Amino acid sequence: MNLKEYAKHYLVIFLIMWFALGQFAYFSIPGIFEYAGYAGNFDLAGFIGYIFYLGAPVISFFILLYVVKFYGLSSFEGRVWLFITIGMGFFCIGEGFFVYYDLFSDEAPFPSIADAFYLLAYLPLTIGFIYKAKYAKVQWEMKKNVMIGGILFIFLVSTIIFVVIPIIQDDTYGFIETAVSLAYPSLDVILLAFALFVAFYWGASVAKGWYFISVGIICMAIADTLFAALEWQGHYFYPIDLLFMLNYLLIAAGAFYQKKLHEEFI
Amino acid sequence: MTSEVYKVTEEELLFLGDILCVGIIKKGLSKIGSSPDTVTVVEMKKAMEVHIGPALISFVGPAESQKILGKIRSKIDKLQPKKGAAS
Repeated sequence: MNLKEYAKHYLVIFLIMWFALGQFAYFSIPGIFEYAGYAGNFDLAGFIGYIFYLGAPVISFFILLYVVKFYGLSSFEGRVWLFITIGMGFFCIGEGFFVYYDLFSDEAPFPSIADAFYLLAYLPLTIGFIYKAKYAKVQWEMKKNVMIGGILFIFLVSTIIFVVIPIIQDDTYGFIETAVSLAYPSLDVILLAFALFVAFYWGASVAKGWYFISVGIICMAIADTLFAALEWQGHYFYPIDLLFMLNYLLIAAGAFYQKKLHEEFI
Repeated sequence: MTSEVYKVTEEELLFLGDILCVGIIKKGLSKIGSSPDTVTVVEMKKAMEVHIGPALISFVGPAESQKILGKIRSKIDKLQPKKGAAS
């Protein structure tokens, strides 16, 4: 199945619509409520926006479960997707707690149980990629490695300058807050390395579905870095949430593409 | 009753999972007009070329796919009856 045919599949259209509606909810509904004169105490506009936001990892989780079921746990591919599904599950729980704190508490604690689940998610995701690499051995190419290294270097330097140094220099927060804040960009460098490896090696030679996964993880790495940099200074910009949303939906789209592709072979 | 050639090939591809392994081989064989019960070494090699190989690439990439197919070929070659065998 080529990407053009895949784009016409009902699930892909559904994922695109979900993202589009999420954008509408984020950008337009607050204005509509204000225009309509809504003066309730409850952040109804935020609630509606969060339905789409939280819906993204949940939808992705169930699509990934469906993909795992297709491959079966006796196959290495099934186990790869199982690890990625577990990671997505942890993201779902983390996002659930994050949304709860944002909507129903005056000040969200940091770090919170949401952060515990976000950080936990990196482990099965990384294991999933390493497990796939064990089977999908590729021939190393110096040119590709130099490009990956170059992009990582730029990302690492930017992260150090705009995130790590300001956080370390700020003595407002304690050790745990600082450690958790630094954990995200550090883990994102690792995940970004995998994403670039996947894009340059697997997407090109193994299967195009991995391009979706790769772009999704790049979105998450960028969003996490922006979150760490801006939230620390108190300037968090909510549309960055849409990058997180895109990450979840792209991972689901990539997994489902792989399933459709392999379905054609049996 | 599946042939030895089929069994050897299936064994090497089981890492893909039971359903996928069987599905890929069977589809490959049907594309060349053969079946698991009667497939010969030559037919299996043809099926590997037209279907099993491309399917495998989408899982493990071209380099690893060639390694696995090479291993299958050398194993099924040993199953081929030798010329001039004693009658």
